[in-house]
Amino acid sequence: MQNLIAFLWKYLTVIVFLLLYAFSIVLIVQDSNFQRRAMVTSANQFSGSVLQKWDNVSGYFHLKSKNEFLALHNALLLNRDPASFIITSDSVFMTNDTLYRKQFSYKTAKVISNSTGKQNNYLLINKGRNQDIQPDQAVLSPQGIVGIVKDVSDNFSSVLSLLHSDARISAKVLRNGYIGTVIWDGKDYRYGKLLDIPYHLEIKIGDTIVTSGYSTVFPENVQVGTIQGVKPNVNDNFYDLKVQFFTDFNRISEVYIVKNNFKSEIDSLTSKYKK
Amino acid sequence: MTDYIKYIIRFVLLALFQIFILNNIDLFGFMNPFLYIVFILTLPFKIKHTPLVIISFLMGYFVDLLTGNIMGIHAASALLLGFLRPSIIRLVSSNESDYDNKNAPDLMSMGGKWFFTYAGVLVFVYNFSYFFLEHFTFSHFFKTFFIAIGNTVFTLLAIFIYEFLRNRKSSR
Repeated sequence: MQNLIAFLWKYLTVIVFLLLYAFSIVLIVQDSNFQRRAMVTSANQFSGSVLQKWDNVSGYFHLKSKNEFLALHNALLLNRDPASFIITSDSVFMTNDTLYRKQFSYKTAKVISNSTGKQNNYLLINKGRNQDIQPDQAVLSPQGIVGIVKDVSDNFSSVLSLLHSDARISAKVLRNGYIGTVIWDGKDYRYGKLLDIPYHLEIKIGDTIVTSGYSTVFPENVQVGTIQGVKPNVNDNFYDLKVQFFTDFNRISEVYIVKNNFKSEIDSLTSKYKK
Repeated sequence: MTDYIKYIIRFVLLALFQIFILNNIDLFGFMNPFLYIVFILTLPFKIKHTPLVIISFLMGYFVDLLTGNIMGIHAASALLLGFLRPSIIRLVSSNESDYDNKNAPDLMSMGGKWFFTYAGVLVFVYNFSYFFLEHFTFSHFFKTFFIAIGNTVFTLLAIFIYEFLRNRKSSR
């Protein structure tokens, strides 16, 4: 027994080092553990209110580019307005409002903290539980897709950016409807990858990628990016496609939070066979 | 006793400066000088190895908690730094008489050349550990390696500026 204690005492530093190192590695591997979640929500409240004050000031410096964005987006919406179309066929024309049920509701929010240089990037936005923001709602910018709401506190939410190693977005090629998955490879915040497109399909540089609408999170046909590079993957029968994102992740300031009003209904249906 | 209070104040100030200012620099999108490790580098020679390892870990863990990046990478890297410090001191000194009558391994008492070698090796160890733990893969080895080298230079620059300012203040 005394020998054992003497042995432990001799190598105390090494043992302490190894134990603490193992503890850190466990922390890194399961990054989203309970402790971090508890920290994130309380830190959100504190750093959120500080960042909010700073952003109130710095917001004025970007008003010009903000207005350009809004004008652009207004033009896009006016193009979809039924009032801007004329009726060319007079044989059949019927409107019936009960045909439409609102599936997606949009809210605006302001980004108060953002990063693009890390391997796992998060954004912080200035709306939370009190404004009816819930986890797993989609976050879009006027240019395209941004990410998914991860954690909410009372007045702030943290958003898992598309620039995150866990982000996987179901997307399709707009021109021909082929379905794939968009991920980020952690290298450059302007480019990502489109996976799962078989090699025999025809893909061109410049093709537009939009969301597929196959998830309950994102609406269909939200812009994601354009194909910038087409390479066959040497290991399997899939393409290695480089995607340039439409969203400039370094300049996001105004975002839309999208709520799917039928999410719980769809989820309750699919949860039966997911088990 | 006053020494302890001095070190505790330095610990807190360096950690807060790191968390709220330096970690937001993001030069080229990912480069931040990790100035706070100068605290671990300049702890006195007479500190025992086990407390050194524990203090290093606590410092890294504190920075981790409030930075909001991946949990544990500062802690693991600072821990490694504290664990290797005595070996590196022995490695860069030609014999023990180099440091047995000195107080702490800092720029003022050890001189520029010794401190540069000592800090250079340990800061590189820290950055190497940090960026490989962040990427958690060896698949982009050279890209990660060059980021670590670049950030080492950036951190060393910050540490030398810090040490020069500290020198000037205390020599007055």
